[in-house]
Amino acid sequence: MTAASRPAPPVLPPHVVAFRWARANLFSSPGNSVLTVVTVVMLSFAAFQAARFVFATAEWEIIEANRGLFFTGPFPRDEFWRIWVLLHGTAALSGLSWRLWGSLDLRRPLAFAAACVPLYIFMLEGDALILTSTCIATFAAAYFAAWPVRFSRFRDRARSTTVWLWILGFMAAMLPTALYPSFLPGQGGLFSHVPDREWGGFFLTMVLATVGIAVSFPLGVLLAIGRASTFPVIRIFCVAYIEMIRAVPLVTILYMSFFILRLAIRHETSVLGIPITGYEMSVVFMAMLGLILFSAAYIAEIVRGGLQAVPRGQVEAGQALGLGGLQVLTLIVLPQALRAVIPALVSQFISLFKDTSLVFILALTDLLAVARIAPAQPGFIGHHAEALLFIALIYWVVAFSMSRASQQLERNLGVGER
Amino acid sequence: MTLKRSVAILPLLLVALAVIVFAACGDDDDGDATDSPTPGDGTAAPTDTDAPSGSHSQILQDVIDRGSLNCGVNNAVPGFGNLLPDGSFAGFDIDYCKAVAAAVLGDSEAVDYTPLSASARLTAVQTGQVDVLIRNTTWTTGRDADSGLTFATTTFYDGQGMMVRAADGFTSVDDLAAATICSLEGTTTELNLTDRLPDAELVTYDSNDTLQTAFIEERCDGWTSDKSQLAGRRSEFPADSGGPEALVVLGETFSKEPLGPVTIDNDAQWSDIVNWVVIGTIAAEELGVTSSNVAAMAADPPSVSVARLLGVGFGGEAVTDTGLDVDVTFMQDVIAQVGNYGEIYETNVTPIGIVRAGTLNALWTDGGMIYSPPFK
Repeated sequence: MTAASRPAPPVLPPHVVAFRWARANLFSSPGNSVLTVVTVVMLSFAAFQAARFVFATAEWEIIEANRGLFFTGPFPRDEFWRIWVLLHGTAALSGLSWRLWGSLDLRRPLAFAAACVPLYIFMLEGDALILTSTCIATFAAAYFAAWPVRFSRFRDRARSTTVWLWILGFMAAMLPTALYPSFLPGQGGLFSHVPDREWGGFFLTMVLATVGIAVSFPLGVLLAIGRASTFPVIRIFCVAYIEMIRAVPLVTILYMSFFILRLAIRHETSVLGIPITGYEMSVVFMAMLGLILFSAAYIAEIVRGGLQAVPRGQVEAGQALGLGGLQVLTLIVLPQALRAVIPALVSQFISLFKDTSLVFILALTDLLAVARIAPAQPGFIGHHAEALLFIALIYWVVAFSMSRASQQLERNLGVGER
Repeated sequence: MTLKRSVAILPLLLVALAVIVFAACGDDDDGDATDSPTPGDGTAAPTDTDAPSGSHSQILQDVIDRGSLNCGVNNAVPGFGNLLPDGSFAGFDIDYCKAVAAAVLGDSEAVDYTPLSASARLTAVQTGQVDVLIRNTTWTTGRDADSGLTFATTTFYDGQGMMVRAADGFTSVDDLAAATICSLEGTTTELNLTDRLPDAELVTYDSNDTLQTAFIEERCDGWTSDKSQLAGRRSEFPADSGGPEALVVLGETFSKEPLGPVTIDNDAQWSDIVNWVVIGTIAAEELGVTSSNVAAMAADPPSVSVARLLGVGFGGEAVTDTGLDVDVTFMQDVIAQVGNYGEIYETNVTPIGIVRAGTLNALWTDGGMIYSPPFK
């Protein structure tokens, strides 16, 4: 029977369509009808309770009053300009990257941004509102500056330049902020010294997560390659490292890095006979170390899965072309292996981002710790639900953005298409 | 080959074993004022830094060289140690950090606060990470002797109490013999309650926040914790659950929790300084010296006791050096910049609803335990 011989279906009014759809999908049998009714009642009740809490019961002043704590913890207020400089740099590079790699369909991100506007006005005032606006303007300026490049012959060069800018910018930001105060005693010439225990909130969470991801990823790749090595010493070391770390909970590793090194290094100590007074082991550095060591073992196993998925023929083809071992690895095996494991890698990165909240056991004031500190302030005692909901929203926004970015990366690399 | 491999793996196995052993030592009951004396706290051996005993204090010298005091604190106990929205610290314990800084450096703001978790705090003192720990720490034998620490004069006498709903009509702890009681898990609170009410059903929670939710939902009849905690919770009990009037803290106290500053054992001079700063604030209250009248009293001391406290001469008598290695006028700085004991209590503890009158924290002249040895 061909389509032409069939009579055109009658155009039904929308309520009839809806009715038929409901009968077919929701009320197809007595059992399903009961299930539908019960589910609808339960969902409405939950939605009603949630809405009642958010709009009536909750007292959101705790968030408004503690904005500074949620974003930067006890960071000295006079030194906020450092964070703003960092944010503007990140905004510029993000705008550039979005144009160079991002999806061309802007409807969804713009709708999301529009939905955030009320939150942004509610959350900020004064200088913070102005500076956040200039951040967004910087993002837009960088985006439009890179507008013509996406489809020009300069695209690849612009992309590699942007990657280098990210790397250099990251190091420029991290070396003085993260490492400097931890390793050198005394005051820092040009800028005053911000002890790392005064870092906190979302800022600290992001520092831990970005450093953790940026360092543990290459480390994990090296471990995976080492595990596949033909040199027994390297292989045994890598296997032992991976299996030992994976067998221990992250909390234990954080405790270890804190207590054991603490006991080893007193407030007055000497290295190679040179006395170091005022030496102080940085807690943030310990936490980073713990997170990196832990995450690298997991990344190594993910990457190993990718390495094993690359057919043997690829290596042999590379060797037949006269490539050396390193070239086969970096030009043929690794690109395919990493592309294959992007989803698992991003899961591990998201998991690392959320695991940073465990540093509260080292008494660091990360985002979760602020949500425990704020409801203890006289005047806000007991308003923990508001604080936790707020940070849950922040965690979700970041984790969701990471997940979307990875999907875009997969599309750009054509995963599953070739 | 196999032999070589197994030899290579051996040290790694040892490291793994060490990891497991240390993991077993670090248990964290984190959080609230009820910090149980954890056996793990004592595992860290006292350090043998080369501070000479006697008149010269190494820690004092370090603090002066550094120009700031490293103080270990809590940042989430209402009224005692809070991190405020503007990033500053405030509270009863924080004010004692400020008092020590004012005495030693003449500047109550010259303090670097280090928030510490319950399990990390004693190690922090032992390793010299902090000069003094003022973080609602209960004075116990184990901590004083085994952990190599010294406790200064108690600044706050806390104790375990019981809070019930006013509508339930309980008037004493014995009324709750067969009731359901909520408490924080892993704390001495839990043990004390089992001793006091063996037949009561105990429900434990990991934080006061979840505990409060359970209490509002009437999943338990009594809420047991340190009285200072209960009072703080009561004063800010949500209005839609009846507000503070819906709750009663029963009079009975069934544990001792004397809280005070902690220093390391091997620097007696430093411990003396911290101790006498605490005593000085109490003496100031006894003598009626406050932050507003301290300047006038120093210029014209009304009695020889006041003159000795403030380090000034009286009636032509020469100023006697206290031998504490700090400026003889150190209490002037403390009182002017921080206040006397009563003022510190008023500023921090009264606002969270802990009444002072009639408790152990009243002055000894008012029937309490706050008592100053003679300052001379």
